[in-house]
Amino acid sequence: MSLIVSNLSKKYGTKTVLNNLSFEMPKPGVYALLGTNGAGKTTSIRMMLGMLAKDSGEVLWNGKPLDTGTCNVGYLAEERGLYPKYPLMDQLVYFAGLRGVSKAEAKKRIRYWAERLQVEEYLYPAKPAAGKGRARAKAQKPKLADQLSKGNQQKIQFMIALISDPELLILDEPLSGLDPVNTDLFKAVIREEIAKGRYLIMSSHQMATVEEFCTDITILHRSEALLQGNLNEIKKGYGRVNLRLKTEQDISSYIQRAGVTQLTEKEYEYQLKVTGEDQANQLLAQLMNDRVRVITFDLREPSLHEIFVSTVGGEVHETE
Amino acid sequence: MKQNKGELQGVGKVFSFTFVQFAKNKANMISLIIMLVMAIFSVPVMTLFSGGGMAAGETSKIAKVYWQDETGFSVDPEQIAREDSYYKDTMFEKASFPMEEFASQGEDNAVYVLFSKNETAGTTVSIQCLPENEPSDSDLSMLETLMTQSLEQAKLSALQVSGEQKDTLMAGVSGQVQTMEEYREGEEVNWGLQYGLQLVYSIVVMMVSIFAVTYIVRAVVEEKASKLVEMLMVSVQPLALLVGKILAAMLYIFGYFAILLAGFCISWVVTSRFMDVSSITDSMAASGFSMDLLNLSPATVAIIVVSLLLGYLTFSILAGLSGTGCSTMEDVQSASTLSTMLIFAGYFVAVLAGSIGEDAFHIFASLCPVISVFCAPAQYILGNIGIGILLLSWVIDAAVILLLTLFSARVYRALLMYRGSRPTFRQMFVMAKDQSS
Repeated sequence: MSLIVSNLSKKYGTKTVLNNLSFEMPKPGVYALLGTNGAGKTTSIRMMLGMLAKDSGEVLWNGKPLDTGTCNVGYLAEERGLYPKYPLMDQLVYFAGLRGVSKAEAKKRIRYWAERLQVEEYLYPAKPAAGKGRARAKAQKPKLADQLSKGNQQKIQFMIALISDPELLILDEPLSGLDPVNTDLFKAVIREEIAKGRYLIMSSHQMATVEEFCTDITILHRSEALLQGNLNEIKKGYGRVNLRLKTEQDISSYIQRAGVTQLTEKEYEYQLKVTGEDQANQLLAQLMNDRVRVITFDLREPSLHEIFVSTVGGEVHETE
Repeated sequence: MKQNKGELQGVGKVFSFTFVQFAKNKANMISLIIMLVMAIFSVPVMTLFSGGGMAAGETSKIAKVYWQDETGFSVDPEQIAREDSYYKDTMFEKASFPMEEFASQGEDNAVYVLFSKNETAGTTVSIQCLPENEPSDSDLSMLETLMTQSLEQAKLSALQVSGEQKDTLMAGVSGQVQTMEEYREGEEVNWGLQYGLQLVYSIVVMMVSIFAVTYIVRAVVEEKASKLVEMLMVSVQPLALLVGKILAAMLYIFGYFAILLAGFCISWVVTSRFMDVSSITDSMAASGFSMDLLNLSPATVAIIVVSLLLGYLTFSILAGLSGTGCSTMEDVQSASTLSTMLIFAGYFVAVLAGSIGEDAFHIFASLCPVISVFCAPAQYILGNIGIGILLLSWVIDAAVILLLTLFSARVYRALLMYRGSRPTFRQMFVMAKDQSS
């Protein structure tokens, strides 16, 4: 199986919202669509899924145009919602049915995901306690969507995306608005899905999360793909330029003499930007020569966050 | 894995889910229960208000009627009372004392009837009852009617009018206005029936259409405002979403009316066992309306159902389109406005068609889209248009529905994704053009 997106473009009148986006997923993995607000990430996803008409380009799944009728797609939209006044179980069974999952199978899967995502209490209300008259507790009514917190609603929406056991999973900002505990829970589930060999496309602003999961990325800015490729290769291209140095004394003069850029300093712990390994090694040699005690010397490639910011020029472009 | 992605695939799932949610909705349940209770109680209430209400075999609670005739027309109320089984237990007796002494000399549970004559008021029927033994209002009302009839007959007898002449005079007068053509063809035109039938049918269409618009706009906007459409559109085509909702609302609304009709029929059957419901049919007949005149054959019922369905579909698709242009629940009211205005326009023209006798107008109203769903079947039943015009009106309505469906299929997807102020028709046409290119 493979996913190929080629030359996807979209204009609204004279305004281009996506220009010639192309990327490939030849094997299962995680592909990240990154970009500032209004860069065209959600538009790309909507066009891939056929919700928006394409001006040009194509999306191929196994060499054929991607059709959500034949390809089992799970989608967690950025704009999330549920029917506010309908029982949650009815909604889950309905969405599963629309994806071709039988009612009996849907109920099994709902039970599994309810346990996994810790929302059983909302889907399976407690039965009344045994007893007579006043001693007998009243049966709880099934919960409606608007009685749930935002995080729990997000779990139900995640269940909807996963209920058809999809081959291609598209998650648009999956972790936004979650507390740290639920973020970890979602991350664990995403890891499990990756392990199952899914094709996963993720759009997010949380670079640390993307970095944790993704093998390949596209950075979109003002409708254009500015940077694309394998994340490790991209990082290697930038070289090891981030230096964290901790000493027992002030070394500002050494940093200045070496021509290294100092980013931050706190209690003799320095975040430095070097031009490469040679410059870092020269600085270290100088310190050793003068018997300055070095506690930490950590030379790394730039983080995805840094790559992103340097790619889009630190500019936040609001268009959507 | 079988999935629902054909243009209309998934309609069944959308239909069943939407219908179940309509039926489970508390507000809908309460409204249905209230309407059903009203339907069940409608027949006994109507019977009582139309002067009926007595049980089969029931007799008057008035034990004795004293009467005195001061008109000089030789009124004999006893004779007319003998012909009415309702008074079989009531004794009629010519009073041997004046009305002023009724309180002291009259028996309990009796009334005193005085037939009098004066220059200003002509003849008068006065009924006096004892305060502690006052009969029911309906008993008094029926006695007054009977005594008035008795006085009328006595006046005619005094004028030496024969029995046949009396029947002629008592039969009343009905008016009829005809064109020369109708007169030559011997057609009977009943304006009351014309107007009444058209009005009743238009009200039914209006109710069904307004229900449809309300339910569909709300269902569509709720889905859009809840930001669900993207999740849905992965699994089902936009047109299937709309069609599923329209069919669910149709089953719910027609089921709703069928339940109310069943409630009314049960009420009629049960009430007629205990009360005389003929007063309702008599009242309708007095206004020129009779079920016989409707010629309510299976073919007529089929014509009404087909026309109602065409009307329902027209307004439903319009409602779906207007609803999809909205982004929030606050827009529901304004989204319903266009469809509601069209419904009212159709209704008012239909009412006009009921009161205007011009054939050309009847044909226009039966063929004009939107208006025709209110007019065509009623005008056909009344004989104002032929089967050809009726069928042509159906073809035109079906063509309009088809065009609206094709337009919806093109624009519905773009409208579902649309966010912002409600788009104009021009913007919708641009969207349709974009989708087709």
